[in-house]
Amino acid sequence: MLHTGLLYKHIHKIHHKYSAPFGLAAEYAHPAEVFILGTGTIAGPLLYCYFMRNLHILTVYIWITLRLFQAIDAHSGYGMISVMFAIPQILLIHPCRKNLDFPWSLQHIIPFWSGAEHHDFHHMAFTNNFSTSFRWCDRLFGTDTKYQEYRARVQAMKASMKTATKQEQLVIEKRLLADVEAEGIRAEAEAEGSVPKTMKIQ
Amino acid sequence: MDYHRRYSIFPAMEAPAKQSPHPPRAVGVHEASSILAFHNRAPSGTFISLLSRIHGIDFLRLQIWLFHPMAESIGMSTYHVPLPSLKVMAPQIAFFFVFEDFFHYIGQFHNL
Repeated sequence: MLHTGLLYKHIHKIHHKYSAPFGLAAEYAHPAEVFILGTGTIAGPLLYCYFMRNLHILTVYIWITLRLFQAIDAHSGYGMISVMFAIPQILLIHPCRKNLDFPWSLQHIIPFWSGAEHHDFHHMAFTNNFSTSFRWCDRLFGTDTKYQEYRARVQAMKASMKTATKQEQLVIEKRLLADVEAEGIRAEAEAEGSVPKTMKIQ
Repeated sequence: MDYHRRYSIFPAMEAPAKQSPHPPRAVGVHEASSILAFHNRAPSGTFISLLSRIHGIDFLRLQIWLFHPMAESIGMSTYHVPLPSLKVMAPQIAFFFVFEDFFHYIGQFHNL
């Protein structure tokens, strides 16, 4: 995987420069990474075409366009449909916007869609949530354990603090996020080899 | 052409000729089709020409000379009509989404 050892240090690190990415950061990556991950985008249509023999290039173009929208959606911090409405803002603004989740984001319509919230956690925690479009892969391969823990902690916090004001809840949630980010920085340093390993990295 | 030049992000390399000594010729079918076939270069002022300038690669030529023959060799339609309907395309695109998602976990199948 791109998150270990030399592959990370020399290739995928560029894309992980932003621990809170914005829209354009989706395509901010090493050429070799574009080649490696682009294989996943192109190989699907090619294999399908080779075996099924009924594919039009227009379908491939639409697929690539949708895939680009997906990448921007996942890195924007917002949701899919908001991308359609506010492309310049979504692409360029890098806000402190962890709580700006729109009710019409795609992950509220399709529960297994990854979306920004899922992928933001990947850029923070580093060792979790590797998926592109859907959440089921990370569940299957057991690479979203920390994400599940974090969600459970937030839920528990919210349940125990029913009486607290919205402001106080946000403060505590921010603290939880800061913990995750600190751990992510540690994991990233280990993957790079700049500090000795303390735990197994996916 | 002038319209695109004026609004391209980088200024055109060569200034357009001010006044031709010859009266303008009628554009024949061959010339029009040669523009469409990108025999010269990507049309300026477009996103793909911007990409071409950044990377120093003409992506339209790459697509037409490398990707299209390869795609056709495995049976993909490129210039053919009628275009596929949404009913045909939607399941295919859904498959591509799922395929790419699993592609990223190639190194992780031992975790299953």
